Amino acid sequence: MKKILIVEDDLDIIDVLRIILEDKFEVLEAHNGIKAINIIYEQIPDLIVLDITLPEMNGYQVCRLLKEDEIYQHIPIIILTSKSQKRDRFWGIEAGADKYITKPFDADDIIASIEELLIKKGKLEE
Amino acid sequence: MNNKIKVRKNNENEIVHLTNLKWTFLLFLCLIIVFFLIEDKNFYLYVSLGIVSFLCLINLIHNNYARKERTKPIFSVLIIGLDIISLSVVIFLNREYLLRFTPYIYSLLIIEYSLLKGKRNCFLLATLFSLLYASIAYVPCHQQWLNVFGLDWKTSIFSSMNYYEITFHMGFIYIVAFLMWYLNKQKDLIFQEKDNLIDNLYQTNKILAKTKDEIKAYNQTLKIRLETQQITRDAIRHAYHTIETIVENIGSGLVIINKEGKIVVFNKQAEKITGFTALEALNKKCSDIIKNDLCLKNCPFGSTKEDVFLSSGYGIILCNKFNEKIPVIINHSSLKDEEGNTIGAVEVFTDISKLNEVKEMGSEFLSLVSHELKAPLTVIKGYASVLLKEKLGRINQPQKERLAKIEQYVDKLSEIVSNLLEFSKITAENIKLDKISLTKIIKEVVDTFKQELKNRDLDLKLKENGHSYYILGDAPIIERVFVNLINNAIKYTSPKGKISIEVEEEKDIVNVYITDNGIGILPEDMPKIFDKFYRSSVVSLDKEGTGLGLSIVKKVLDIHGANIKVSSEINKGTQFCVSFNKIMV
Repeated sequence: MKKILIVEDDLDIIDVLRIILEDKFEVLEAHNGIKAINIIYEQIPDLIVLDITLPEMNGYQVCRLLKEDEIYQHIPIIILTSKSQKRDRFWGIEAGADKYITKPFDADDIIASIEELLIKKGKLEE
Repeated sequence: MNNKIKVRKNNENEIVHLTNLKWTFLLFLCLIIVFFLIEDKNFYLYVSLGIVSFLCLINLIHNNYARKERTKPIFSVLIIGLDIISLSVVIFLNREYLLRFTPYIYSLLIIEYSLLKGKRNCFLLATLFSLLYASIAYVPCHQQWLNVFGLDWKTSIFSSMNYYEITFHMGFIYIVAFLMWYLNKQKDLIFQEKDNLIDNLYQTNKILAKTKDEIKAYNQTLKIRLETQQITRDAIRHAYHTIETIVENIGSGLVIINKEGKIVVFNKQAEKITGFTALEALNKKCSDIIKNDLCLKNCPFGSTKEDVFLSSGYGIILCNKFNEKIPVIINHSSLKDEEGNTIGAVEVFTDISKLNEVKEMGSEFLSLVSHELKAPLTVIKGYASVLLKEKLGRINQPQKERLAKIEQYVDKLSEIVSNLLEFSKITAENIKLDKISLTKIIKEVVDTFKQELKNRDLDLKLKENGHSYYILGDAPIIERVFVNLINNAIKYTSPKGKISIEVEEEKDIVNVYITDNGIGILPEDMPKIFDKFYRSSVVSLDKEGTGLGLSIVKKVLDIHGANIKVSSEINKGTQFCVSFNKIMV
């Protein structure tokens, strides 16, 4: 089963995502940027669902850090945030995110986006 | 009247002098007769002495009255008459002694008369006296005449007088008469001139008096005018002081420039904003002090100072003396004189740094609120979705329906929050104007709706004439305009309906027509369709939409200086026409 890391400080949203994803994926969770980095280094998830407004280290920083690292830059990142402005979207893509989804999100959209990125990643690895 | 009184006084003075002269002369004549009496104690000489003494006395009395101004000219005339007759008789009675004095006596009488009465009758008197003299002189030649009167005349004196002498004497009388006539004429002329002068003086006095009155009245008017001028001057001074105070103390920078573009007024706030003192700024070129990007792009005052320029205010970045960038809102207006010629311009600019900070805070606040709202919405939608998918257990149909509604309203709420945030962020300061291809933006927007059009079974045609049209705008925001308009057309058109987008140019304008054959807009809704949250009564509440779409469209177009028009008919469709100022590439 593919490992999906959810990085979100809101426990309820983590709960919703877990319920949506746990049928198909192994769900890991982190509540702040530093913890997320640690889990990524330890467990190397297949995909990261990343919020922006995080304590300790925000989502842009986490994203930039991973994308600059050769070992972890291949991990697809979906930025999941309530910041829906164009400039927020711009910064997200600029930080290296593969997709930008705004809250509140559609469950089917999330699943479709995750699957799409995993397929793309699989092809690349081949 | 005054002149007549003066003339009368003159006459009375003359009478005084005359009678003085006369009684003196008559006294002298008395002495002569007395002298003759010593030689010849003639009866007639005694009679003559008596007559002459009487005349002397009369004239003395007259003189006395004349001195006291209690006489009249008529008395002088009577006395003259008496003199003439009396002296003629005296001469006649004593011809042998007095005949030689006769011309002088008559001449004196002529002088006396003419002095009193003027030049009139001088020659008449001369003739009379000449005849009298001739009579007195020639009568003794005819003894029978003398016998008639019983007189005995001595002829010794007359034999010594010849005709030439007598004629000479007569001539002498005429000469004296002529002289008196001439002198009187000259006197008359002089008096006339004097009268004229007096009249002129009188008239001049009148004129002077009138002029004096006029001058007085004029002085009064002048005084009033000066007082009024003083009041006006005070009022002007006061008004100037008030205006000066206002100009110096208003909260915005105020700069007035003359026709040459040089600064003539520079208030305190202008000093504060620009960093230049009034001393440094006055008489300098406007662009040297109020440095901003507008000066480089398009000086409001242009090269022709006669341009009428009026600006309702726009934001610029001003570079102050210390090269700090200050955001300001600036207003321009041209100044004109009474004939309508441009004599200068006025600029009023307000530092909006604080306002921008507040706006930034407001914007941040809005972002924060939006974020804080979206988080719970995400959870609500998430759980509703999860429950709907029966991931936490089975649910019945009514539960499914309600959960679906929850999901639907969460989406709507989320859209409202997003739109509100977007609406608040669309401001003149936030847009970035660039040359953008309108044609390209429309095509891209149409592409994004392809799937949805397919899902709703709608036909959208983009009619273009092959030209590319460019405008000055913020691309993402302009894109939003067409997204919202096309979205509305899709939302309010039934399946199988038609939507068309047409782009055409009209001189310097490019028009974009978005037409549908949907449900249309009620006439009573037309004035309100661009109001925030307004939704037509024909649209059911559960229909998707927040009522903010067209408000956002209107706001974006207003900021870009573009127009939007709408025409609609119920159940026939709606057409929106968006007009932009196109720019040449």
